[in-house]
Amino acid sequence: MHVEVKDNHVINEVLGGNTSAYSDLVDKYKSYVYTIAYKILNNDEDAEEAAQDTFIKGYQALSSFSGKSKYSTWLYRIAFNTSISYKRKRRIEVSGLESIEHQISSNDDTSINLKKQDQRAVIEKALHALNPLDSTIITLFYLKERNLEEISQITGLKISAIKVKLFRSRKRMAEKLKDHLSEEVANIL
Amino acid sequence: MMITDEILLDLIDGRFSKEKADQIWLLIDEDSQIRKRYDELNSVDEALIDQPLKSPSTLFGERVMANLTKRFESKTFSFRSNGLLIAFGVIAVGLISAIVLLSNFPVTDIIPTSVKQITFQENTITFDPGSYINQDLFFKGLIYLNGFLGLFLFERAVLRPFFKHRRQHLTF
Repeated sequence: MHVEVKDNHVINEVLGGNTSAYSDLVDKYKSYVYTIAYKILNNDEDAEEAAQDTFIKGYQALSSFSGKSKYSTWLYRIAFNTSISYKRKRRIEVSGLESIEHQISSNDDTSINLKKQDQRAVIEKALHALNPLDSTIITLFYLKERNLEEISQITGLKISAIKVKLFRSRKRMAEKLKDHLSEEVANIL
Repeated sequence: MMITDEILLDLIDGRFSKEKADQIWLLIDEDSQIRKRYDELNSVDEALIDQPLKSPSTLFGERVMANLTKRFESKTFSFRSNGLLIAFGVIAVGLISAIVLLSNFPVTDIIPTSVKQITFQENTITFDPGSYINQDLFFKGLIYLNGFLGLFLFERAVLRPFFKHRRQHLTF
């Protein structure tokens, strides 16, 4: 709640003519917006450009922000739509699942007890191998503290569809983790 | 109660009441396979919670602030998206339908069906519609055109948006 009040205070300042106050919002949310853009575009340069455009569009449309939702939800929706537009324009090819599977299976760690760092690396690769939409939904799910309603507002998808996608993605990642662990055991035996 | 992955994920997400969660925990503790599965799903969850955020370049903020007045290209004209085509089609179908209907009433003079003498600025012109147009062929053509436009509109206004919406959801 405190965060929202602070955001609204900055928004009122910007709308009152103090343009430089907008940099507070940019600094606060740039990593989140950039992460969303990156998940969709899978490319640093395009993600940077899409994130920049998100903040610029956000600034230009700030007067239309009604405050009904959180500012972050509103901004992430712009980020989501802007990134999708970029993706459509540039037709960026997402790397195939096979190459990622190869990366996962070529891991040389031989420890039976998979350390947390290794687990994260496997999960990160599995996440990267997901469809960009699924990967973005997973990211938003944790950014938005598991709030399905807000993810629905950001993506425009129904809550039931989001639940299905989350379920499938998490299950798939759990399988990857399990496979990886089995491979490690097999390598040692 | 059958413990599925969905139930385990809902438990991890904290979507159950305390009583329900306790009930599920009892079942998990009783079955080593379920416990193992819970641990697998929970590992994924823990790893995802700690996902590091990506950072843009160091000059990101400055670039944004320097471009706050940047103008974005307005959307290109698109028949498909702006509905102009649909509006045009609706008007065309309406007009054609009206003409076809009116032509069936002999009292109307919008399309003369008999030989007429039209006087304009002291000049008299004899107008014989039969010599200019085969009305039967014309009206049947209009009916076919009307049917075609109806199907076209149905495809554009109903089918295409429906499947486009589905495609976006499925493939991004």
